[in-house]
Amino acid sequence: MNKKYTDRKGVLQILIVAIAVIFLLKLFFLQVIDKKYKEAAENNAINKVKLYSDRGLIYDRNDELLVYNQPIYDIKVIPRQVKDLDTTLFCSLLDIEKEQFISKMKKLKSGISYYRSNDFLKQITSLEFTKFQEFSFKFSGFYGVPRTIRKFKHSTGALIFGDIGEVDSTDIKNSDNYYLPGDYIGKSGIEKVYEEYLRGERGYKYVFVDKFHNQKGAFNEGLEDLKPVSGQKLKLSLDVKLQMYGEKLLQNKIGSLVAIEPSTGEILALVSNPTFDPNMLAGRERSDNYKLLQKNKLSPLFNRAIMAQYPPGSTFKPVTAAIAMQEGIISKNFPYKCNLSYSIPGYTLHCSHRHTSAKNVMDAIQHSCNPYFWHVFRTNIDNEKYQDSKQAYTIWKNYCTQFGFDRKVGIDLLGEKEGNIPSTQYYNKLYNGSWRASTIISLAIGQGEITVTPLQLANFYTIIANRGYYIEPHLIKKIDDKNPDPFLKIDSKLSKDNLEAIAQGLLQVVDIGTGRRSKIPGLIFGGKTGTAQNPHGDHHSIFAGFAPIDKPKIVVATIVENAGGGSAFAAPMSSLIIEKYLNDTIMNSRKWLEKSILDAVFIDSTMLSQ
Amino acid sequence: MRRDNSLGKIDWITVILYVLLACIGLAFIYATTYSPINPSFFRFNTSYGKQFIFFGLSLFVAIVILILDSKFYTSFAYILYGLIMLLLVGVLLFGVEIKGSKSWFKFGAIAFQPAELAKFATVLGLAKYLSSYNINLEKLKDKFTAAAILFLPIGLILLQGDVGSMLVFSSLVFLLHREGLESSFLVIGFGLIFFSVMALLFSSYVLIMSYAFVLILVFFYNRKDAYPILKLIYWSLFFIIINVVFSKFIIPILPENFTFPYIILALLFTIILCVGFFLNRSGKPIIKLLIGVFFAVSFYTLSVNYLFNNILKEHHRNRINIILGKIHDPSNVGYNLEQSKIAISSGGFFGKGYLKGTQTMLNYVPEQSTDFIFTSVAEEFGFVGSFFLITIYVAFLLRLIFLAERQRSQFSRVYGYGVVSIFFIHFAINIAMTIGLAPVIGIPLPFLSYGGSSLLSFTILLFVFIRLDTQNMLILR
Repeated sequence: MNKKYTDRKGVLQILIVAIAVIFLLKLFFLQVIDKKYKEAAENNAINKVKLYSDRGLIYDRNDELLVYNQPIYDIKVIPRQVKDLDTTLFCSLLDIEKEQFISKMKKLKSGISYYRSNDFLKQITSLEFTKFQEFSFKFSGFYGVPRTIRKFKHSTGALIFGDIGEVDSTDIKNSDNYYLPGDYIGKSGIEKVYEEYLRGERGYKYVFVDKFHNQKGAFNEGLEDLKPVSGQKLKLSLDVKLQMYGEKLLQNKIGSLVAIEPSTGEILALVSNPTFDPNMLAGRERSDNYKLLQKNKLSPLFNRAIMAQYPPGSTFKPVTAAIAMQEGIISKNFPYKCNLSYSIPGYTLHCSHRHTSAKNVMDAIQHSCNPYFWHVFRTNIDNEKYQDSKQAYTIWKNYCTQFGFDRKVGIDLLGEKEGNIPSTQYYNKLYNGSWRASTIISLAIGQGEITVTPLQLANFYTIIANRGYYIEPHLIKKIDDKNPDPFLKIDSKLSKDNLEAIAQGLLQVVDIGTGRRSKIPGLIFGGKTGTAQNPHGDHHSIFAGFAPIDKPKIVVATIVENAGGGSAFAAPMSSLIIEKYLNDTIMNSRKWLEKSILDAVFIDSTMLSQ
Repeated sequence: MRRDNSLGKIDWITVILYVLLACIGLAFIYATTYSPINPSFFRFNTSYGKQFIFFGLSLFVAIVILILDSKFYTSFAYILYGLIMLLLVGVLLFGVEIKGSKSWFKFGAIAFQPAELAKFATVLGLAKYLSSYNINLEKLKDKFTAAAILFLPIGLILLQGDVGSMLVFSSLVFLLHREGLESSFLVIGFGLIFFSVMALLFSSYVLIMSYAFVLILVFFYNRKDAYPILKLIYWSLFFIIINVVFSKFIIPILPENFTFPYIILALLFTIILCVGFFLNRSGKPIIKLLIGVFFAVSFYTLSVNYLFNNILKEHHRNRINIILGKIHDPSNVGYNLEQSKIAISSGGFFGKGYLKGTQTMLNYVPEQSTDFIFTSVAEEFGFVGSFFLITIYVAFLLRLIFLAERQRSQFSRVYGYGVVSIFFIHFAINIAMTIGLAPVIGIPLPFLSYGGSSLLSFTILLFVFIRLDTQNMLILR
């Protein structure tokens, strides 16, 4: 039985020899006869070349192109292949110092980088590259790789668009290794928030390259290549003309301006001044310029429209009135006699100016009567309707939060600040549990601990403009011609009638009240002036409003730092923005107003000189 | 029992070939990590340093194996088999995942793959079983038992997601065949692999047409004819015309997703054969067999495609397509293979010289110290080097068959065949993949590829056989 199958011992032996013969034939063919692969090896083989996708273009709401791509080149070097280099010519063409060249090359000649392709000089312009290319036969080992950087058509909206830069190790890690070293990624602004749409998909191709790194044709007829996919185009809600006009009005001033289309929550302009040319942060000088901007004492990198937190002053009075009406504490016809002072236990407060007593809420808003709002607030917080003042305040604060205060409103930009409406706990702690309306009375007129961002302020006036709700403010309108996911519509819990009364008051402000200097003939609009107390210098001028009064198309909130009262600068500036947006031009009778605003300077001259 | 002087009968030819292969391995593992810029000295924390330690350890283990009584392997065969199967179960529960296979135990810096030992255990188990009294593989019951011994580790390893090792185990069919398994298993086995690969690579329509074509040629070939080739040519022309008519005019007018073309095709084919049968006076009884084979193969082709497209999940399909080279995968298997071919080709006839292979040095070929070690030999020593290495390997394998055949004991012979089968399949698949004759399946070249646990396991596998051979005149049970 043992020897039963001896005839089968040949099977495996034959198979082994047959396979060995096949291998040797194939190897003989590969190693001795076939020249195709040998050439590839001599030419240093097939290279997998990354193909960068074009970043998506960015347009404004009227389809004007704002951000596009510009070709540049990275110069790379394989030190092993550098021979007989005319260093002087090389350095002069690329505009670098000889010492710089020598120290750079010395670093690259050590270790494995001697054999590899290394970055030598990044982001040279296509003009420089053309000159370099002419002599490239003299520069063996050096070659250029095309890239693109961002180019901005207008010097505007730097903080909105943001910038792109090379990925760092955290970006790579966070992306689960999607990005590779050398890739660009959005670093701030829209570029960062919409990175996944803008970036497109990287591709690659396999090419035969010779030792000068000239491509010698596709490998395998390009069948294994992957074409890059361009990024998607973004259409922003921004009106670039309005944005630029806003920046112009704020020239030589510190401040910000937010314009929103109330029916959609779309941001029409988001100005923060001082600003800078976005092209500064694109290209080879990016890091140098970034450092310069960081050092600048006027902090141009600080997006005041969403990050600066100011006490809203009188622009907050409609909030006080609206909550009291909604809670049924007062009706819109609630009168209060202002005798220029208001006494609360302990001390007496004074009204800022002489005016006829308010017969109703509308009048109170028109006259911006402090005692009226103190009284309303106090009646509200110390009302018997509630268990105690603390409960009343908690409810009051919840309203504010509903309006978008004391939290992020949710704009599609990073770094938005929350502002501050103090919590009940905060006051409990501060006053050891014993406090009432009189203790926190300054909240009634937008002072004390209250701070808001210009965006939050605009957002509250959007609620009034819409007579009840707002839609999360946003900058995106379309992604690749498609609507993005709908933005949240948030109800303010304020009734339409009450808001109508507030709107009426705002109308009176502009018509016959503190804002009458800003009146636009033929255009009925409403708004409220305000003055933010500034312990460090002149008061800030604030205005928030919307136009037209019925079916509003635009809401504006403006803050000009150190410019004094709201009626002086913020209100006329807002009216110009409104006029520009709705009428497209400033009428002659108001040119003087425009000029006086353009000419005004509210930046310390010592700071400007820096 | 006295061990007399059996140790003096060690087959030194095998041992020398083993040492030679391992040393070539060490030399080229060094070459793959060598950089002319910093020619580093010998260090233990590098890959060749680690491999050197493992080579020393392997030699030590080899000596221990030679000292142990060979009775040990026969008596403990089943126990070793059982223990190692438990390890395979254990790795599924407690193992760590490396490169997508959950098949490693990790102790500190040392990773160990029980699948390597499983080869040894399975061969041992089969040897023990087949050499026991009154076992005949032509009997169904014995066939099933042998299959169970083989398929248990295969199943467990498949669960780990290690396709390469599964292929290695399938090589043991050579062992079974040598011990009496019918040749039809070998033929059908190869046939199934061939037709499955074809079915996945080409469209069913083209394949069935081609099979029909081949069968028609076989059928009409008649040695007695005056001009047999001429007859083949006109039958081919007839067939091609029918085919063109069918694909150009009939298929286009059929509704989409219409599966009946194949039925019509089969009818057509049958008609051709029948017509031919009546025209051809010499008539062959083979016709029934041919039609049978044709239908079987066609049905198999269609069902492979059906299973592939409807039963397998997306990621399974992708995996198979990557192996077949039909899609380009993220880890760029196609690119790696191309680089391997370039490196081999650039070696030329005499090679570039040791440590002078630019493709090797620049790490153009990935996994070069493990799966693609042959590439550096071929680059640095050219065709001469490849020839030399392949010759050593073939000599080694043939020597093992020679040893296996000279055993008086069936246990030793079966074990020997198991050892040869495993080394052979590793050799065949590994080199075939580096030169582009087989899809890239990551299995090492025994004794040469970097990998401590694999070197150690292969050494154990081999030296147990060398130990058994020292007593080749004895009958062990």
